[in-house]
Amino acid sequence: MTIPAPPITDCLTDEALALAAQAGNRAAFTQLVERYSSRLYCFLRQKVRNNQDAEDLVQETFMRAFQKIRLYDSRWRFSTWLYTVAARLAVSHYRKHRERPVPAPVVETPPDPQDVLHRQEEAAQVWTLARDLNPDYFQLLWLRYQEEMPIKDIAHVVQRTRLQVRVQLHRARGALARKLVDGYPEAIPAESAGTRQTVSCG
Amino acid sequence: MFCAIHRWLISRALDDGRRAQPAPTRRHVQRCAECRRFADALDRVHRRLASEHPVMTETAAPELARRIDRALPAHLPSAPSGVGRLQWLQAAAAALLLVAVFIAALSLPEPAPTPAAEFAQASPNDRPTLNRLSASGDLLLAVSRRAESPMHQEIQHLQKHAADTGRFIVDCLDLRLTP
Ligand SMILES: [Zn+2]
Repeated sequence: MTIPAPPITDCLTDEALALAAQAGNRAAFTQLVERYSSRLYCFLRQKVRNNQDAEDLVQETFMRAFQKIRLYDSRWRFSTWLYTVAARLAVSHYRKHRERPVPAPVVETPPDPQDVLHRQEEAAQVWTLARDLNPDYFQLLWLRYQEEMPIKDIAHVVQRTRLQVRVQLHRARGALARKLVDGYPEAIPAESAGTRQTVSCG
Repeated sequence: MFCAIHRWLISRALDDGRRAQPAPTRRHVQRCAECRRFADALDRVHRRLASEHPVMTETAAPELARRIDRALPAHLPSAPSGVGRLQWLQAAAAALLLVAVFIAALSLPEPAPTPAAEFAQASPNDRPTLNRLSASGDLLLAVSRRAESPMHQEIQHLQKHAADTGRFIVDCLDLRLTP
């Protein structure tokens, strides 16, 4: 019995797939959807705070990318281009739904002990803690560590200056360190700040 | 005050892959126990962020990609009519030009050997004439170099279009990818 060879698209870089899609190759675009759906979902989920809205935004992002694939410039990484599309859609979604009433909280049943144990294990994960940060901090950490984007690309995606990105990453890491490390010394020491500074995570 | 600045520089260095902490900061960290603890804590967070992957339980991730792909049209928007063919013609012309440049470069005559030995053996009376000849030889060399320069310009021009050439190769690849 022979194991079927993986499709040729599996071996190509994102940029090569995007160029193939520009030339009309639909299979190449499908491969990009498979590579990026979950990643974009994680990125957008923190911004919209609603599963269905996040899924809709992922779909809208791919629809936009599908229609505009010819505008992709291969001097940029494909991930930078796609995340830029997603971030802009998220901003307009946020503006559109700003006044929407927040749904009433679901009445919680007592937690299952097994579930509690699982959540405690999960809480040790750095990304589970990162999800409780300010959504902007989460997005920057995501682009920096999960997408391994350079500062220049992150600044392009989130439409901020490089310095603003650096400062926010500095704060985001500090906020995480405060949750993870016992006796973490603050970025701004109490004696030099006058009063002890805390970074808002809400 | 200095601690706050050094802590910013410690954090900033984490985002500059190639650039480590500045030397004054490294020296400060050696002396200051609090900043050392800060640097250790931040480094631990940095390494965990880079090595751990998030668990997203609330979505059926594999299904999401399939659903999205099914919702997209079956065909990608095609290029405006004629553009695709034009690109192919441009690519073919570029390839021909490249071949022509290489053939021309190969068929260039080897530079003539310098008559240094004969020059050394010449009598003092012959030297002014030889010097004049040598000077005109240099002039000829300069002229021939200038004659070569359009070719050099062309090669540079081709280099500028490396990206287009890359696109051309991917287009070729695409033909093989299309089911
Ligand atoms: Zn210090």
